[in-house]
Amino acid sequence: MKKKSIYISIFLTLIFLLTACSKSINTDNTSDKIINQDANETLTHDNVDDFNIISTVNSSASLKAFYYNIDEFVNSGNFDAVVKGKITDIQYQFIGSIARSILTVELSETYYGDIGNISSIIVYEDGGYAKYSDVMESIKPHIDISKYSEEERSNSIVDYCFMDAKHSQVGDEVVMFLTLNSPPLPEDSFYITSSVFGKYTLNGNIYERPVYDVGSERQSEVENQVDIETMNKALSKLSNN
Amino acid sequence: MRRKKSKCIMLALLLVFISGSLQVSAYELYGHKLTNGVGSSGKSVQKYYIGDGARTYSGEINTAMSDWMSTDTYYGSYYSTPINYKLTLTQSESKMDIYKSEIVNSYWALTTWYEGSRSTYVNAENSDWTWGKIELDSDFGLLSYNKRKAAIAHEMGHVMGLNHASTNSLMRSDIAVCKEDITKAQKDDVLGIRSIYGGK
Repeated sequence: MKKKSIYISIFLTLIFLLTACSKSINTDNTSDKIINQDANETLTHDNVDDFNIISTVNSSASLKAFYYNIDEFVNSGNFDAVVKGKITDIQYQFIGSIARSILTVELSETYYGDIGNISSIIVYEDGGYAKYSDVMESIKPHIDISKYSEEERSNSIVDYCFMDAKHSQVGDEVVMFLTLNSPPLPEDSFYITSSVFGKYTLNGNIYERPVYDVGSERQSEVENQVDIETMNKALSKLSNN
Repeated sequence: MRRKKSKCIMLALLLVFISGSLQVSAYELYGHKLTNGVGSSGKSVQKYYIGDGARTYSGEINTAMSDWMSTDTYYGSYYSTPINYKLTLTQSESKMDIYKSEIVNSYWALTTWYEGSRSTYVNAENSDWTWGKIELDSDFGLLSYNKRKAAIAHEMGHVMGLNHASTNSLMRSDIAVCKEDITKAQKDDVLGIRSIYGGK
């Protein structure tokens, strides 16, 4: 009987040690983990101004697809949905290597895609803000954290600029080419096809998107402005399908 | 006299036009660089680090780096660079971290530049940086081996200070999806690195 309890004790100790060991092995400070924020501490367009921007960093990406003009985009068929709407809310989250803007878009028109009978959708956009405390875990092997005071660390944010694009604003009227997200992100949410270059923001009578520096002899072919008439004409091809 | 003068002007304009056209096919720089350089061909070494998720692509990553370090073998001694990197398992030693994302993105790979000390703005066009972070998409494995290698080498080029450039270079913006089979630095890319950090 005594022998049996000794065996059980050894067995439990072994399990404990193995668990502890596996945790200590996995100390890779990767930021390729999705960081879950406490819902109460979520960064939003409402509270982002309450924080100090401690640093602004920029990224450059090898896009899966880039379309030089609106017709090329429409004709590509490389999207799950194409919508027009107004951004009514923005939250920010540090996902992977960068911050993302999580946009709530109130729909005014769906040109393509089976969105269902809903009035708004969630769209993840590359770039945005992240709390320094969320970013810190992934960058601390490279920086001297002591250079920042405790207060700075808790009250600061990092501004992640994606390919020089401006961040979305609440109230922006946009046309977006979208692709459905897959787990671990919500499967009923979207990301923007071609990233920040798949979102056209209305400015006066012109839809604009950031200028993509392709760096090549084809730079002059990149169209980043589309007038309303041209946009409607291009999107009407989708509506007809 | 007047005719000669106008001929000279025409010739000058033609030269300006030709030089402008030639510039398109050359390298493009951000104007800034890695604070501590890219190594010094045998004298000093920089380190790169591969995160857990990205280790699946260690072969492509190590070959891409090896190619960057041996450009003179491919193109001759004029195309030598000081690039000298070594893989490290100690993340804090690294000046180039490579990770794999857990989500599907609109990009195959991404480079972000960071400044290690206090700074308010880090943009390769405005300030030097101390280290760079490369992120590979969750779906990176859908690319062919050559395209994976090309995309990784391209991002390494960004970390070292090269901007997007002409279609006959590794730094072309569509390197991961273009039809051409460019898998390593081309001569223009090498000249770009030499213009920032010098030769061997």
